[in-house]
Amino acid sequence: MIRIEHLRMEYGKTVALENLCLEIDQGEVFGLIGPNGAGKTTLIRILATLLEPTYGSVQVDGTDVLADPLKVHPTIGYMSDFFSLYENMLVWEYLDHFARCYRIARSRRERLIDEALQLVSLQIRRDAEIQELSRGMRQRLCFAKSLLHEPKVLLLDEPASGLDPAGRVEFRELIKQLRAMGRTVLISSHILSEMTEFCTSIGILETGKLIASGRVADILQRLQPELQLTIEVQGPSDPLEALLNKEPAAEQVRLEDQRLRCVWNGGRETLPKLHAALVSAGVPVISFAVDGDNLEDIYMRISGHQTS
Amino acid sequence: MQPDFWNNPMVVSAMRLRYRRGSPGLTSSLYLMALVGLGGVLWYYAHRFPMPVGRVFLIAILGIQFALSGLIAMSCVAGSIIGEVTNRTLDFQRIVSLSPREILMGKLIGEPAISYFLAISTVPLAIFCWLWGAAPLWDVAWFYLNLATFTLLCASLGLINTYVANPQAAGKKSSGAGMTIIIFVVTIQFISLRSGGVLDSAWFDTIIGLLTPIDSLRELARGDAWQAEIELWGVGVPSLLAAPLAQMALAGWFVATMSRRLKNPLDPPVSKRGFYGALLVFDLLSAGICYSQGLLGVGLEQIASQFALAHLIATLLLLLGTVPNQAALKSWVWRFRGQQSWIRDSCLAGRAEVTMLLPVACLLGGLVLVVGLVAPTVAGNLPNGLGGLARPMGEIWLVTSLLLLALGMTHQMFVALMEKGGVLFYLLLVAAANALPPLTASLVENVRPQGALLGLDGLALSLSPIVFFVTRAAPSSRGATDPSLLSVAAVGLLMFSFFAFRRWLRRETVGVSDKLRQMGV
Repeated sequence: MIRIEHLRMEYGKTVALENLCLEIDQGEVFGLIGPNGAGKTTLIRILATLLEPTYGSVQVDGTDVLADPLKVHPTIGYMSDFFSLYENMLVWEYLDHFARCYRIARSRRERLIDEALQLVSLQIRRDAEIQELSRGMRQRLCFAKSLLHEPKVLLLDEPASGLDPAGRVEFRELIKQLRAMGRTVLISSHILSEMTEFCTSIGILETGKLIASGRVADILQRLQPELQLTIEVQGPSDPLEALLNKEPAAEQVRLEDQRLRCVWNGGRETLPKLHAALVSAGVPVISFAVDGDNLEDIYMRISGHQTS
Repeated sequence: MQPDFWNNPMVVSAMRLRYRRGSPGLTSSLYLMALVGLGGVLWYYAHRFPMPVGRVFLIAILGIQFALSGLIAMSCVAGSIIGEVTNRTLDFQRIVSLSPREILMGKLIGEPAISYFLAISTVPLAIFCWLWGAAPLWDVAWFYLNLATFTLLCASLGLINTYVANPQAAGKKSSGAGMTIIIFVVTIQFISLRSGGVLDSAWFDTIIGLLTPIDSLRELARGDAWQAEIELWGVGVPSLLAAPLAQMALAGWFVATMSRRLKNPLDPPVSKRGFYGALLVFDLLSAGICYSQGLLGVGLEQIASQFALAHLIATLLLLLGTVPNQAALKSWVWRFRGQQSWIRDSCLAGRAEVTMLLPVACLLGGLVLVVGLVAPTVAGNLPNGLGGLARPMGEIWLVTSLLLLALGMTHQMFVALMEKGGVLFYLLLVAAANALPPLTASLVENVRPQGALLGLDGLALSLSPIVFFVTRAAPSSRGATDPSLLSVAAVGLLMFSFFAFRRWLRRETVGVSDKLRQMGV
């Protein structure tokens, strides 16, 4: 659905994106992670046809963004991190304005506006002036505008930054709903814990370079070949320790807080076998857990926290 | 482009907001009442006017309405565009299914809504004036057509703005300093030309006749608005007929230009094809005006100088919108260089350098000069041919071409070498090149008379491009300046700017090739 090749973006002497290649399939929710100034907003603005890259090719749904931007516009819904709305318009007027801008037929316009307002829980503010809305409501209205023309691709730049906790939960559910509908979503966010919940793939961007990208599980496995294993048993842990010491994949076996911990180099796929072996050897296992790093830990580990 | 402007979202939203903020009916009623009051005052003092009071009233209504509509249209459209850019709402507009032209047409028609209501409210009064014998109905109808096209022209002027938000100036209103400097420099140049008698009043009459209703209203006061004419090749075209066409054409050109800007801010506003087209139209108009001057007895050398100066000014003004800036040139080097021949790129590609465009502009001007001015003048007025005029004519065109090449190339060099402020430096250079030599000559004459005896004042004067044209277009006792020094200076400037620009371009090209190699492309 999105195909980027050799993308480069320079602002004067600053290189915001450097030789970026990326493919995002249809139906994926791709999370873009990186520190401020890593190039996330630049990448999203290029995809939204708002910026022309210095070099490279970008395709959205098979259309070259640089050659035919007008053809790409109905395909994308875009929400920027900082935006303004027309303060004097009413909520429904704002959506109606963009519905007309996307050439939505009169017969469908009203229904789509109602659906979009319902989706972002703003129907009770339908006739309110935009200047009366809170920051979170504005964020939702902007999101409704991005969904109005039923785009195949959603480009969301820090979309949840102004939302309260309840709004974030709603937003997360909304993204999951969109994923279920087969929409492709490219989302940038700093809240990495939330990203793991709804992203199917992620890309880590730093100093304009994509330092890692792929499915969340694959990245976790790739970036974390060693697993921290914690096993709790009933009674003395000596038999378990002896067993683990015999396993070549187990290293640094140690007792901590009445639990046995070790580094497991055998990969996730060998863990069921180990578990079965322990049970068949009569070890009374209470818990068997893999303390894997989460996305935040992985990001903090591999990122140099540099900006372009 | 959708022809139904009234369904354009920009128009619909603008009308909705206008209706909500205040009733246009109330504003129009108050305006109508004020005009009726004015009519009463005029009727009271009717005996003091040398023409029927109905006509005075009609001229007053039209004059006020033209001024109001023009101002409202320009300020509303400019305000809307500046607001969209500074508030960053334009980004969402740029990614909808409407083309940039549709967006700008929507702005053009929707934003000045109140000026339409005001104009419509004056129609009953205009009909009343017709019944009062102020002017034939046909004339009144033509004036209202003029009003519509004049309003559109003013609205299209409001579109001329930057469409890229400056991150450092978020929320701040644009000061418009750049545009003010350009307008100031151009105005000063025009005033000096006018006061020096270089550009005859025919030029200003034509500009005013084509772009404003002033001439037609003046003739209406004298009894017949159709007497206001624009003389082209000796043929008088009524201003009431020509003005709507010229105004619509210019408004369309502004919309096309700014649509390019909105579509991609990296593209220069005026395409190279647009540059040639606009220059050709301007040169033809100039030739028509100059030929008409010739019919009135002005010498061929003088009118050729006027034509050459007008061509030079028009080319340099058009280049302000055509020369690609540093970012556009870099983009061309990265993405387009080498895909077509250099000559084709330089002649036609929007973001490519203007090196070849400049000689084409010289050729185009030369062609129009010969075909549109010299040939008909020689055939009509000089049955013995050009005779002794060939040399001065050649001299004028050679110097004009050298100046055009030198200044055009310098412009390109400045904007390529400087990321910001290149145009300002270039304009200052042009202003200095025109103003400093006469100032120096004046100083030599007044402070160091011995210098004047040595001819230093003449030498200094001959370095000024404007003096070169002034002394030929409006001959004085002092005589025409020697073109050699100016030509040498122009060639020197051309060589310097050409090589400085090529050096920059070579460095960029090598840098880009290295980066592409590193990227594995």
